[in-house]
Formats: sequence, C-alpha cells, structure tokens
Amino acid sequence: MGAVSRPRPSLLPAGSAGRGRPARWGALWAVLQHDRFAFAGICIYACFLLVALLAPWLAPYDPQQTILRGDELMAARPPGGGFLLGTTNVGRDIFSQLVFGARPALTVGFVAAFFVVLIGTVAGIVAGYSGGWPDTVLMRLADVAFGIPFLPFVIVLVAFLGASLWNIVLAMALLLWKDTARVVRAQVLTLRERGFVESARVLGASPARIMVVHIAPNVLPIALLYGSLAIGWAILTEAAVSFLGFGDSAQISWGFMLQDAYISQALSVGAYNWFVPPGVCIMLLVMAGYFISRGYEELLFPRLRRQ
Amino acid sequence: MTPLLALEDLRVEYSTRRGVRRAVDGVTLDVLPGEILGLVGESGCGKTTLGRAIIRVLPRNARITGGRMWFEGTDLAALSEPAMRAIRWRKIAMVPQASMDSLDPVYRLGDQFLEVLVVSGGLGRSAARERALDLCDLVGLDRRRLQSFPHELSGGMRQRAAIAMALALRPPLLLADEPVTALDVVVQHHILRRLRALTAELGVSVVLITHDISVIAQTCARMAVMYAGMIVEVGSTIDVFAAPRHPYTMGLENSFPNLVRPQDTLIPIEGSPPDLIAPPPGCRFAPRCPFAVDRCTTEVPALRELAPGRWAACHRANEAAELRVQSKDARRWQVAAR
Amino acid sequence: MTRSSSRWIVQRLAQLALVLWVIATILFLIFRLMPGNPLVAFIDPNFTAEQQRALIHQFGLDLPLWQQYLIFLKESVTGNLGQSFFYKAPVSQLVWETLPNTLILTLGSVIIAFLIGTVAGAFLAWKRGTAAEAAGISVVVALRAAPEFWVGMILLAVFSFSLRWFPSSGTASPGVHYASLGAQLVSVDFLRHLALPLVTFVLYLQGLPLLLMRSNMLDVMEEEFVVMARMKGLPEARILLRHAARNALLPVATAFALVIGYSLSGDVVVENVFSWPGLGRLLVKAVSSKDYPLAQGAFLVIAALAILMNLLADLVYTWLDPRVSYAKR
Repeated sequence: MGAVSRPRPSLLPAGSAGRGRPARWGALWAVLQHDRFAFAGICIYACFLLVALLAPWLAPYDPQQTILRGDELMAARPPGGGFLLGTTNVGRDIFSQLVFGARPALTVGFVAAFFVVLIGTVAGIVAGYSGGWPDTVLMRLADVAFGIPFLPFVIVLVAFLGASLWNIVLAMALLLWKDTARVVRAQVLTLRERGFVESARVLGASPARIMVVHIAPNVLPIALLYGSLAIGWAILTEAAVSFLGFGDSAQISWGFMLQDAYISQALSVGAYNWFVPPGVCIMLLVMAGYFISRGYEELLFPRLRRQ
Repeated sequence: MTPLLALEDLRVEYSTRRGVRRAVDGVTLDVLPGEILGLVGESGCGKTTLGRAIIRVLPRNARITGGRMWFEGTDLAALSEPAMRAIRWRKIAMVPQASMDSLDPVYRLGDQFLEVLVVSGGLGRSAARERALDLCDLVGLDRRRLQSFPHELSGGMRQRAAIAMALALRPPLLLADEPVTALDVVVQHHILRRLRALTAELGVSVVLITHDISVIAQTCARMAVMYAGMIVEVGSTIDVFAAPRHPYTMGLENSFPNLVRPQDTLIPIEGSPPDLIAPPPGCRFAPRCPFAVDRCTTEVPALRELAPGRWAACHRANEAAELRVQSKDARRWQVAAR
Repeated sequence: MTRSSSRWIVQRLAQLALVLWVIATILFLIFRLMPGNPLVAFIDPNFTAEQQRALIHQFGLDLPLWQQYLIFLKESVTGNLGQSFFYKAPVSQLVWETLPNTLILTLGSVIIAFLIGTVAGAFLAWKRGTAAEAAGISVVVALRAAPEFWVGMILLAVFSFSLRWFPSSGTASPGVHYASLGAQLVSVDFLRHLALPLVTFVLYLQGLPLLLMRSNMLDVMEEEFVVMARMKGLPEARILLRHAARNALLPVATAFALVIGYSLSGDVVVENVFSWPGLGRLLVKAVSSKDYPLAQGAFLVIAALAILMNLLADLVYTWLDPRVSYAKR
C-alpha cells in the first residue's frame, strides 16, 4: 500500500549491509538491555522458570492433597493461617497449586511454540524458496488452516484423541504454523534474490543446502519473534481447553484451577483468592511474551522515522 | 521595491540523537513581489528546511531558533499557531515535490480541491466547484481528472494538480520545493513554462527551490545559492551564471552539463558537505574550496553586497574574475579535497 | 458490477467451498479413525437393535468407506447432519436455534470492539509521548494477555453475584417469552443478559484493532500528505479524522477478517462462562456428552460461519480502499 508504507525489515545490523551474514545475536542482547519492557519480560520468564523448577521446594503442600488439621478438613479457608492464598472448597492449598501450575504452563508453552515455529519455518522456507507447486500446496494448506476456527478444532481433537497436554500441543502445531509460515515465506522471497544466495547457486550448492545454510539463519530471527508470541498463545490455549473441561486432569494447571473454581461456585461466594491468582499468572506470562516480542520487533523493524 | 518576504538571520535547528543540527544557520534573503526567485543547493544544504520554516510546518524535532521572517508587516517566526494557520495557503502556499504521496490517496482530486477551497478558503460549495474547474484550466489539467484518485494520475498531471492546489486561494507567495525533479525533461519544460506564465499572469511571487541549476536557468530571473545552511551568493540569474562570485557557484557550474558553453569534461566538487552538528569554524565551504586561504578557516565570511543586488559570502569575492578562470582547471578541484 | 469483480466473488466462493469440503473431510476421517467402534459416531448404544440397523442402513455404515464418504457429503450438503443423541432432535434444528445467539454475541462484540478500538487507538496515537499513552498501552496489553474467560469470571463475580446488577447466565430470565427475534433483541431483559458476555468479549477483542490503529496512525501522521494538509491550513481535528484516521483505517479493516476468524474461538469460551446458549456452548456440551453427531454438526457450522464472515470482511475492505481492484487479487 502506498499511503501506509511499512519500514523494510532489517535483519542485518547497520554496517554489514549487503554481505548477507546471519543476523547478529549480540544486537538482540543490546536491544533487550535498551528496552525496559523487553527486559522486564525476560525477568518475568526467568522468575516463572525458577518457580517451575523449584516447585517441590517452594510449595508448602502437595497440590492434590486435601489437607486435614486434626480431624477438620481445611475447606474453603481464606488466606492466612499457613495458607498463603487460602484453600479450595475441598481443602487443597491454592498457593501450592499455583506454584506447581507453572510447570504445565511453561511446558506446553515452550514445546508448542517450538513445534509451531519449527513447522512454520520449514514450511515457509520450502514454500518461499521452491516456489511452484510446493509453494501452492503449502499456501493452500495454510488457507485451509486459516479457515478452521482454532479453539473448536482443539476441542474436537482433544475430545477424540483424549485429554492430554500432548494432544493440545499437537492441535496447536497443526493449526498455528500458518502465521509463522506466511511471514517466513515473505522473508525468503526477498532473500532469494540476494547476492549471497545467487553466488551459492552459481557455485553449485544444492537447493537443500542453500535453504539450510544460507536462508535458514537469516530467517530465524523473525521466526523466533513469532516463537515468543506462540508461547503466549499456547499458554492461553491450554488454559482455555482446561477451563472447558478437556484438559489434562493428571496435572494441576492454572486453567484447571480456574475450571475447578468455576464449577465449585467460587464466583458466587466471592472466593477471589482462588480464581484471581491463576489468571494473574497467565496474564503476566503472556504479557512478558508480548514485551519481549515487541522489543525484538523494534530490532527487526526499526522505526526510523520516530524519535 | 519593498520585499514581499524578508528573511533576517533566520536559524532553524533539529534536535537529533547525535546532537543539535543547525540546518539553517543565519539566512538573510529577500523575495520581491511578482518575481520567481531560484534557490539552489545540494541535498542537505537546508533549502527544504528553509521552505518549511517559512510556512512554519516543520518536523517535530525542528525549531526556529533565531531571526525573523517579515511578511506583510508581521514576523512570521513570532506568530502564534492559530494566526499562522490563518496565513497558510491563503497567503503562503507550497508546491511539493512531484511525488505520489502529497495527495491523500483515498479521496478524489476534486474533493481535495473542494476541501481546500471551502475549509481554508471559506468559499461556498458551488463557488468552490467553479473555482476548481477554473484552476484545472489554469494549469492545463483535463477537468475530468477531478474525478480521479491520485494513483490514477501521471506524474505530470499530479504536478499540475499540485500547482493548481497551491494557487487555489491566490496566495501572493508560492514556495515550490523541487517541483519538477521527478518528471521527465519534456514534461519539466512544459510545467516550468506554465509556471512562468502563471506567475506573470497572477502576480504571484515564487521561491523555486531545487538542486538543478538548469531549472533555475530556465525559469528564474533572480537566484540565490545555498550551502551548508547559509546563503553564499545572490544575484540575477544571468549574472550569477556568467560571472559567479563564490567558489561553490563556480564549482556548481562546472559540474552541470551545458549545451551552450561546451565543456570537455564535467568537473565535480570533491568531498562532501560538512556535518551541520559540528560545522567547521570559518567558511563552511573552505574544506572543499580550491581557493581557501588561512582567513577562510577561521572567520565566517559575511554575505556582502558587492554591487547593487549582487551578494556573495566570500573573503576573496573581489578576486572573483581571476578565480573564475582558475576554476576551469580540473586539477584545482582535485587538490582542494582535504 | 464489473466482470472482474464478479469473477473475484465467484473465486472466493469456490475457495470457501473448498475449505469447507476439506474441513468436512477431516471431520469424516476423525470419526472413522477414532479409536474404538466407528459406529459409535452415529449410533447411540441405547438404540434398539432394530433402530441401529435402520440407522446403519440410512448412513450406509455397512458400505465401503468411500461410499460412506459420499453419503456423508451428500447428507451434509442437504443439511442433514444427523440426529443428536442427547437431545433426540435433528442436529440441524438444534444448530439453527442456537445460531442467532452466537451471531449476535460474536458480531456484536467484534463490531463494538472495532469501533471502540479504532477510536481509542487513534486517541492514543494523538497523545503520543504522554503518560496517558503509556498507561493506556499497559492496560491494553494486559487485557490482551489475560484469558478472556478469567476476565469474564471476575466480571461475573463482581457485577452479577456481588452487586446483582446483571444476571449470571442464559439469554432470558425464566418464564420470559418473545414474540419475535426483533422483539427479543431490543428487550431490556435480553440486553441485561447480553451485557456481561458482550463486555467481556469486547474487552478481549479490542486490543488488536486498538494497537493496530495506533501504530498505523503514528505511521500515517508522518506521511507526506498529512504534512501537506497542515500546510493547507486545515484544522488539526480535520486532518486527524478525515485524513490520518481514514488512511490508518485501511489495514485495520483487513484485521477485521482476522479478528472475526479468531473471535469464534473466544466465543466458545465466553459462551461457556456465561452459559450463553450459542453454538460454542452447544459444541462443548456435545463433546462432553459424547454426542458425536451434534459435535460434528456444530463444528461444521462454526467453520462455515468463520469462512463466511471472512469473505464478508474482505468485501468490506475492497470497498474501502479505492486502490485495490478486483483484478489484482
């Protein structure tokens, strides 16, 4: 479009223009330090990672355990008295559930994002570089993927294949690769005409080699941009699926906590200590993903015209 | 003759990350009623900034930091924004570079004319429609083009439309910033001729800003040369071309092809313009000047009137005749670059 | 309509049919490849042997797979989506009854979200560099990051259970009947029921149009024609609204199609939080109770809805942008 022109993506740090070396990761580090939000995002991720790793030591109780004091079931206790966030209506410690909930969140997040980025990048590179019928086939597939509403599909798939984290990951991998693929493909189309690709072709490198050695490293930064967004999508999806009752009941995830609270009428009794914290955790983690990706996007698409 | 516009030591600065850039650094210039004044200079010399400063539409990080702009008895530099808005387009209008982007792409040409005429000009709708049609005739634009969207017009048509748009409210002063640069030579010629005819017919003063001295030669009776934020030479076009008094102007003439006075080779001016964030002390052109002496690197030459209407900012302006001869020697210019 | 534009529409409709066909095929395969007895997809184990035989015959379940597929396609196209186990009623009827509720909630939310989002986005762009902008952005990002059902839960807890301003579920209070759909839409009772799910959904959806509009405005305000407009002495408000916003709006309009696409996902969740009787809730109930015909039918209709809305959004965009011609697509 003429009027609203987008700045050209610059994968190469200033000064190495035209030589086609892979984007420098040092520049990424620099921007993360410069952009406070992106830095905050990294900190949040680091915190949650630590919490997930140290969960057994941080959580005072087993999240599934119904707690008795003497003969009395500690049901629906408000915060205090040894329970940082109170207990659920059947006497489970909310804080412990929250801490352990970081594990399935981060697992699904990273694994799903990894596959989404992997499939999307491969598809984008192959489609963009080969052109012709691989391109058409892949883009038609993407169109179909576009047409399928995401959550309903996940529900149907999870319902029929069984409720487990891995099925959620599978559903995401099947449908969410299209955004990454589109963007990567666009990038590859411009890269394809560049000098260093030309010379590799002339020197007799096979298409596969060119794709892996020359194109892939230059496409990786933008793929990772979508990766950091995909982590957020994955966490939100897992939460939604669990909330609807199709989640993995073997693990206590934040989505499961919310479902538990909902069906136990926590809303009508105003048990905010139960259903507010899991949502806050999800929100923080997804926000962190946005911040990192925004800081990263500034690196890839510098807004030259603004101060 | 009292000038229509009198710039007095005008200064405009940009705040950038690296520091303050003095894009216009003490410009004094007069624009007389009914004349076409050419303002020539290479990219980055500040001529566009000067134009934008006159109409007071500068980028967010730019400010007028000194000097005055006398226009019809008021100092435009000191005017409040609402007062300035009343002056814009009614008294001072701009013809922008011949680009696609100066017209809103989602509105038809006719609607954009009407907008200017009705909102800025205060005309009634039917009077505005009449005027729009007249304006098309004035610039030689097919009336049916008013129904078109900007992207449907050719470069030449867009430029005619831009000129028509600028003249819509019959302003006494027109600022034309590279109006024909992006057009092919034939169209350039037509547009410039039309512009000359219009200014004679309507009595409009034009400041024609360009880097192309051939455009100035064709259109302007009087011209000014700008370098690194300052005016270095002013005079009638004929005299400036025939007998330049500033080394930069001499260099400019050398570097442009000339059909009338054939040259064997074009002699470029070596080096590049100074960094306006930390300009050199003394004359800004000294680092590239083949005739610089010690005084040039320490003392900024003032713009002096050497003859009636003839100004130059050079310490050695008195020796201009001799220097002109020397400037024809290509080797002089190669030695100059330091 | 020009020949090229009608050709474009035909192309898009063909694309729509293609995608639907692919989805239907995928559904067909899912049911057949599902672990366990494939007949379960069609036949309620509670049916008598004779009923089961009749159904097997009707759906050709004793025939080779490819013939079943053709029957399945034919039945789907003619609107026969099977019989719901749970409700003992034709799936198409159940879907038809709940479709309006979903449309009202989803379309209403998307439209309102876009209206609010674009205005707020333009406003934030105008206030660039101020504290208000920073605060605004943080709030918007937070809302985008928060799970929509969680926001809904909080709204429910506060405004429904605690303050009792709004009802907590459904579309109508018990015992209320309406003469027609139109009467229902404007009744206060319906609107009170609609309020919380709508607000929840709008809060969730507005982030994208807002951020996009803001980003575009910031770009457009640097564009040449905006600078020219200022030189023409036009008032700032006019420049912002009629020139900057109008141009910034175009990419936001393309996002309309995108948002409609993923709004149906969000709709499923919102409907469940508020027990809003729409397609999303129907789907979840069907899947939970293993009511396969209903699940299949609901999903198919949701997909068709998504694609159709996408197509409509594309049409709106081409109408808005005079530079896009049908031939170029």
